[in-house]
Amino acid sequence: MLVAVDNSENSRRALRYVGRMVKHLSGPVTLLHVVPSPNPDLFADQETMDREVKRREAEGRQLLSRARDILGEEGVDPGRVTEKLVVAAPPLTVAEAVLSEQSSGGYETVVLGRRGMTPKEEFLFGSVSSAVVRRAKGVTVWVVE
Amino acid sequence: MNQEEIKDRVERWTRRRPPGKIRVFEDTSAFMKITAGDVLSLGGGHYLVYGEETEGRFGLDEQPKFWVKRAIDLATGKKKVVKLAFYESFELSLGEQKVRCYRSPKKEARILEKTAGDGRFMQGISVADAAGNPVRILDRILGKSLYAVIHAYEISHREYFAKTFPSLFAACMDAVHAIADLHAMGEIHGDIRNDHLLFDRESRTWRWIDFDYAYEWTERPFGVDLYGLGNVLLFITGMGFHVLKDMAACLPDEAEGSICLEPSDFSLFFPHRIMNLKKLFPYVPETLNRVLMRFCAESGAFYETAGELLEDLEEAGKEMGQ
Repeated sequence: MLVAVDNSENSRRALRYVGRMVKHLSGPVTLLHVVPSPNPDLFADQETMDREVKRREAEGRQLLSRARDILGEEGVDPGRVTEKLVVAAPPLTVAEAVLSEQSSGGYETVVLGRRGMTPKEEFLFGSVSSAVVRRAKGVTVWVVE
Repeated sequence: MNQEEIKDRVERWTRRRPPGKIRVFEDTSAFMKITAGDVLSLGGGHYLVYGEETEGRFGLDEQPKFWVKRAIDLATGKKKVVKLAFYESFELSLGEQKVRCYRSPKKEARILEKTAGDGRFMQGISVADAAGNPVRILDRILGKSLYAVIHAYEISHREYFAKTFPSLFAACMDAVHAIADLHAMGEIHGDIRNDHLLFDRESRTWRWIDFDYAYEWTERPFGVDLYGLGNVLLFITGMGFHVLKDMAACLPDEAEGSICLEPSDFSLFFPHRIMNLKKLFPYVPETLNRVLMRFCAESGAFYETAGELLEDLEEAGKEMGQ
């Protein structure tokens, strides 16, 4: 099972749900955090951009560690849990990075939280969970609201 | 080029010899200090500054853009627009939605390179000044914006739609195609507006201008451009925008009897802007109106790519005999 996590409340809710569902089952659980690489056009120089990527990666590692704690609090054996951090650089989107990880790792189930965007936000920025549901093939997707 | 040679060139193109010493800037970092009468020395060329570009937005008076200089290429006498490096970040309002926007000279420089020779886009080169700032030297486009062209019409919508709209619609198709091609190159325009599409009187083509707005990469990187294209399409179809307030005062002559507007008839981003133009102008073809309705508040099926939009526009074009 691949659980994609971010810093949203719904993502934490998804983790608690996963914890309750899988604690009595066997099999590994991989926690995935995709760090969206910043758009290089937003930075005057490479050094400033590299600093921002490092900051996001450090934040992502903390987030994964917290996600592991949440699964532990729900009774999932920490030995079953692995953490993975992936940087998605344009043109790769977060949803594409999640599905690429699912495909290369042969995961049968992908779990995500749904942020609950407004239609305007969805028009302009798009929703990761909607994109994963739309593009996923041969895999079960759980979307937790 | 020394002072005397520069003065000779200035005199040649302006028919007036500058009396005093001309300030020549190789480093353009302090662009506020560069004013009319100064010369920019960039990439081996010399450019006489004669003013600044201005921009008005949403009813505001024209404001000078101090980093965008009007200039004359002293080698050829041709008018240029010289955009100096200026970095800023601000909240851009897209209707009721705010988006963090960044001005990126290097994005614009890259697009200039990728679209070199393509008549659907502004043309120019990018050079680094003595301090390494990316400076874009653009060909000045002589002609009106789409906004100005449509606002100049003093005819009824029915007459506009029958006589003028077909050619504007064809131009709009080309403009959408240009944006689809830009997206295929992995680029976004970033600031698609009615006044960023200019009719070049010399080449007789419509050209997109101003590509320096950049955003964080998202799940729908082309969403901002699709938003802009929806507005352009609505503007040319309606011969301007139509809002609820106007309807309350007076319906257009073309509307048949009374009309009942519903929440689903309005724009997703501008809650008072009417997207369902068929209710105002019944002769708007159904296929075209369906495209507009995809930008409505209750659409639920937004366009994901400019290519999808183009496909539906082609369908509408066929219905209109194009």
